[in-house]
Amino acid sequence: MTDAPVLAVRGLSTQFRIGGAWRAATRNVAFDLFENQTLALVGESGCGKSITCQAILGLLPHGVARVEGSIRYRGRELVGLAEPEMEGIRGSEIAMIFQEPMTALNPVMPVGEQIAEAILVHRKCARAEAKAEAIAFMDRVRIPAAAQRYRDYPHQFSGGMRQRIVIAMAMACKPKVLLADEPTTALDVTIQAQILAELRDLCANFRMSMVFITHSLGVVAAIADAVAVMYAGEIVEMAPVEELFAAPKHPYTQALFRAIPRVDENAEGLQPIPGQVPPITAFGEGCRFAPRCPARMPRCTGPTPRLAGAPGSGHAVACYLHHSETLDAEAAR
Amino acid sequence: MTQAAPLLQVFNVSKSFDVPRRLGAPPGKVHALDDVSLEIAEGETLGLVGESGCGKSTAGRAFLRLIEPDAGEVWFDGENLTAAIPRRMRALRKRLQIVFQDPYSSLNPRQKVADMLAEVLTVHKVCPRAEFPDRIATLLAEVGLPPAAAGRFPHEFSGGQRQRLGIARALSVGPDLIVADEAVSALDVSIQAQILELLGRLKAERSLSYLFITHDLGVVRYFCQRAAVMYLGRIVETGPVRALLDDPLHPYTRMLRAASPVPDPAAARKTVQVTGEVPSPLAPPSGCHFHPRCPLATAACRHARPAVTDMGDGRQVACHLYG
Amino acid sequence: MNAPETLAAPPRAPWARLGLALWRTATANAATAIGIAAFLAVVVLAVGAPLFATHDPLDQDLLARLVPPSPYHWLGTDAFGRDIWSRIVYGARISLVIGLVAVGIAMVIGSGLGILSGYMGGWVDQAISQATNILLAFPSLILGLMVVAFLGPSVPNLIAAISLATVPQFIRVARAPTIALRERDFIQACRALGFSPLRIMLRHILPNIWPEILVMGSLWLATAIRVEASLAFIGLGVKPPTPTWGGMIREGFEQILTSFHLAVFPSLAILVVVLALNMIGDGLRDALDPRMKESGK
Repeated sequence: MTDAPVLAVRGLSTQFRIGGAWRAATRNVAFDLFENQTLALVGESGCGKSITCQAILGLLPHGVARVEGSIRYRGRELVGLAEPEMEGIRGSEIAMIFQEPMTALNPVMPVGEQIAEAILVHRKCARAEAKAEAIAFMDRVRIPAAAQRYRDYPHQFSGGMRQRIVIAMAMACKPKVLLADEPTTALDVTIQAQILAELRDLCANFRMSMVFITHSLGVVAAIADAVAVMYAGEIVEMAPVEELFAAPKHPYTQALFRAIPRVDENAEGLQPIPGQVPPITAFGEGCRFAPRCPARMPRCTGPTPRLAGAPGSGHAVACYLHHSETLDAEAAR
Repeated sequence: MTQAAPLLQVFNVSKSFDVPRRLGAPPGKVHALDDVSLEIAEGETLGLVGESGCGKSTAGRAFLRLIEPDAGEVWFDGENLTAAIPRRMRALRKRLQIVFQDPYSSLNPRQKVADMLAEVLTVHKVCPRAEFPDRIATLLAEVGLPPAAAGRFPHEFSGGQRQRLGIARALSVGPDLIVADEAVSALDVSIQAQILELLGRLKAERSLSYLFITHDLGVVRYFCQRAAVMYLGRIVETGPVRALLDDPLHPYTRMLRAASPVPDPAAARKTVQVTGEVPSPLAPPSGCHFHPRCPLATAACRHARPAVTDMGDGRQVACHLYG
Repeated sequence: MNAPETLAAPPRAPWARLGLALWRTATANAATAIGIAAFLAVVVLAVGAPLFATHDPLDQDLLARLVPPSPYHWLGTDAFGRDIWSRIVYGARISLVIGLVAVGIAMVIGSGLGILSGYMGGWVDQAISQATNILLAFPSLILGLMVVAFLGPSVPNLIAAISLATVPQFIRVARAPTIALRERDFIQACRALGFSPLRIMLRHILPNIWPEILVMGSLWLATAIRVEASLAFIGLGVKPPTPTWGGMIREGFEQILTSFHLAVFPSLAILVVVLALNMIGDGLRDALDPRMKESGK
């Protein structure tokens, strides 16, 4: 992929006002999202993956949160963009779906009308046309008997079907980028498998890019082209999906893999990661994983390691264990 | 495994709930448990798996009589629990405990940890009051919490620590069997692994048995020796975990296995045959409940409930393919 | 990221918690502060009635009947020449005692029955709920009226009448949150630990719902005082010559056209107390309502 990225995030830091002080929830997050690419942001709760997504769409509450750095959507800077212009981007250019579909749906409005409304908000057309298109989208996300169910209310659908409706709503404006915040976490595995297949299919057909947030490496394997592993508000490792799963480099990523009970392999023992993620109020300097890291070195508590990798490899790690090779490569260049 | 009688035996337990429907219509009935039988040997961990609404949680609670079964019997260590009078049942509860999924709602927000544990010790007269502080500190140490935890309220702990508190509470009465109801499902992977390790260690040290209720087949493979798969209130397959996951017999077990995410991009992208959704438990399909989603369904599956077939090697399946 | 673990209401000892809630609302909300101050003032007046009264409330001065407010009789005198200020001060005792005792009894019995009903469910719940519904079908004044008319007016009977009229309110207030709590895992855990139902209800459910009951208590105390006054107004109150606010209004009503101060001042007293209690109740409700917590800080 040699084209310019659809979404380029650089030095993104978000801060929250907690007890009178500004605390950094994410620090120096940077990634590129290319056309028709799915980037998974993976990490445990509190790692800042959802906040990053909300920052992209300008959804963080003003006064309580502030965003620094740069988010460029097709070359256009989104950080600091005025609210009316941001509204033009939301939905029609960048759409978002959430973990709990019920929160995204109006409980007292027929689902078909909600999709039609989304179409009408972003494009001028006749009501009948919007309705026909809404039914087509419902059909597209495989809601059985779409036309008959146009007038049904959200509570009349199962969780999986509701998520399909939310996806249809998001797709209704043909966005270039879809931000998916744990959209399958609340669903059963057999439904999750179907929704993941659906999203893969939609991305391919509409040449849509997707940022997919999840805590499950199994889901990452099923959906992502590239992966960014987040820990305590920072990206600690980023790589194409096959490479990350074949050879994870950051001690945290490696530890995550050792902590998952796998359904396809017998493991004689899991290796839990000792300790816990520090609370946002205790984020310090240096590598934030250092206190739990089995390979901790004295310099890990010094300046924060930079996310860097061998040029061209697309595999970057923020860890001093790997910095010698990185720096060698940089020197060679 | 053991030749002795199993620790827990469940015979044909059923439970249905009335569900109010819209005005005028008669209330619907949900058969949360439909003729469920299983057993757990001493020192064994049985996984009870299935998707939401399959009745696995109801099962765990019905076996402990936190929900009264409509029919069937539950025997624990040679005693019929379902026939026990309330006073006897309360005494028996020392030996049967439960750990819940939600570490937030499972602890009384207004009770300090020490008070919570002291209350249990008082009610069951576990030891003289003078020994309470020592006993509480020992319990906390056993679940990996510092003695200082005793003086705190639940909201001062993280999710994983709260789960440890829930485990400490269950341990305080010295149980033989613990029902773990999605006990690690709400936790992050790194914490989940810690709690699984803790539960495994306690099992060895205290020779516990578990009924491990979960939706995660990965956890089942790691933690359980045997597993039972539920679908819409019925057990469809039972067997040793490795055999059950590597060579599932029931088409539903196969689907569940195929849909379970694996951290392996090559395997995860194979298109899997997963179709349909769990039907409403208010109106379950006739015959075998799984037949509308089953790629192998025949006419028999639509009409008759499949009987349980013993497949040898401790495996049982309720499917017409094997009948 | 999810919000850092929700910091629920700081669970402290019930009294400390209530005090904290009161303090928080009083400092944040002027209406509550005024309510608390006004109610406390009335309580102080009632307790220290002999100190604050300028005259004996029963002393008749037939030479000074229906005197308008003056420096000697602050609020004037009634048809028998009794000092109205002193009668209001002593009347506060009756109003507060009847109100507090009646609501206290109703609170204990009502929340007990409500918790029992919500926790046990089944026929116990059916029976209690049906009885509650029947009692609720009568306006509290009518119910009180019937009881007093039947038993005769006296302080204990008035308390019984007002309690009976107020009990169903507390049953309702206690039952709903009990049902919600019963399904919570920590209550299930108590059952699994073999705790007796009585222990679970008293030690695990009550501490979690009693702030709501207390809010209701402050609001119904206002109603109880009003009902007592209403009963006295229609002649079913504590017998004269004991001063009660309702009785004073009744007596004053006969002279309303010529000496309106007779009825107005006791009415004002009732207004102040009822308003103060409602302000306290509203403030407490806001303070204890978890949804208000975010903005409360």
